[in-house]
Amino acid sequence: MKLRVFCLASFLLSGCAFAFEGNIDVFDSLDSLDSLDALDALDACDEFDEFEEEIQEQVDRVDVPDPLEPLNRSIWWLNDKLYFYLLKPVATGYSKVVPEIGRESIANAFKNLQAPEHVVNNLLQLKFSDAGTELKRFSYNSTIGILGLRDPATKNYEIPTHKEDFGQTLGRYGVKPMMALQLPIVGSSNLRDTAGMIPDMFLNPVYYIESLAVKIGVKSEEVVNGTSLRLGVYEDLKNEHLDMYRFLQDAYEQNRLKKIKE
Amino acid sequence: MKKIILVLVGLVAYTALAAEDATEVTQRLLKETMDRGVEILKDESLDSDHKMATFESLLKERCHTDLMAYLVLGKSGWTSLSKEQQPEFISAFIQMMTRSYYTKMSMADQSTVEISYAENKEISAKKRVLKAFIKDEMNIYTLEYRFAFRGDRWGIYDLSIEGISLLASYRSEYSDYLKQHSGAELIELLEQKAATVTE
Repeated sequence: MKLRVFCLASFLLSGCAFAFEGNIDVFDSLDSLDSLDALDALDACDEFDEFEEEIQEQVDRVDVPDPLEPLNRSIWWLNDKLYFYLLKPVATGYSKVVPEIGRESIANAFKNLQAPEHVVNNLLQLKFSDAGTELKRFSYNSTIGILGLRDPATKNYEIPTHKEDFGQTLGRYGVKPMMALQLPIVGSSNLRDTAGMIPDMFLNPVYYIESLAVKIGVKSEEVVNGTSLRLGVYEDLKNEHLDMYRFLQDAYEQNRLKKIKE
Repeated sequence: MKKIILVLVGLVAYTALAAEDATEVTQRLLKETMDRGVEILKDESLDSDHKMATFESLLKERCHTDLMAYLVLGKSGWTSLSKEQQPEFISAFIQMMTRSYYTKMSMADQSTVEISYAENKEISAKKRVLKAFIKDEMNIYTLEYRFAFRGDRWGIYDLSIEGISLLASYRSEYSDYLKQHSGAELIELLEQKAATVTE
């Protein structure tokens, strides 16, 4: 009996020790990259592929074809100029006139108007509980939150949001992004999500405003108000990245993939 | 038989204890890093250059910055750099990351930001993912910190914000850039970007 116990324990321990030691060797060789010898070791280290594959997998997952790249880049260039020469100066002026609390309230109200879109798309994805939660958030924010100007559902009741749009619904049922698109004013998108904007449009109460001038006014207010709360973010990212168009397209696809998986 | 069970129970308990330890260590590391970052920002005795330098030390201490620099280029990108350029790239990349981390933290209103830690998942014996939520006045963001155990310490090697991985985003850009430019040009550009401070 003693021998069996000893053998079993030895087998288990040696197995663990072997696996553990193997890992330690790999990681030790990777740890001091400051020395050039260690850098050489890295080049030849097969076990390092574990990290390499993990990152490459993430890159490949969001590698959406971009057959219209020259056109997309031109639209991005226009959007970039539109931001710096029109939207940013207007939003900066606006932020000086309207206090932050007011701008946050307006942004909350616009978010609240998206509730029908979230509820319907949750239902289409058979996420009945999430649809119920969105409905609950809408009722709290529209009543206690004074027509959505405040967000007590998040702040006081900690009810999580489950934002879903038709692009996500299509993604959920296996529709691929197909190809990258850059839309005027809106920015990065893809063919699937652009198509998804059409049914979503009918679920937004702003669509039912009869006067075109008022509708444009409301939409402009939404864009300017939103921008005023994010001033400096775009500039910071642009300073950081080598190719802003590529970064925005990649970031968009990574973010959409996460949302579809949720 | 009893002894076999005891050995097995002992092994299971040991493994569970080790796993619990890694969970605690990574969570503590992250919390300390975030707290220290806020502390540096609020330190009125430091000017912005000193703050940036302290941030750089913090990042080197808590992240596997060398591994990140390697991964951001991938094996082919990395080997395309000369032996002299490789450490130069690591240094330029760390500086650029420091600037990015510093400006992002400076932009957030620290008084309204709340951080909560959620899932801490083991990927392998030496890799973990720690999920955290950052809540401000308007939004809740999901962050995923990827930790690796190398040498004698746990350190961060990737961060995803709302599903957007830092390394994956940079890798696409850098590999595209290296198709048309040299490694020296990439290093020079990163150094320029690191020196730029958003007004």
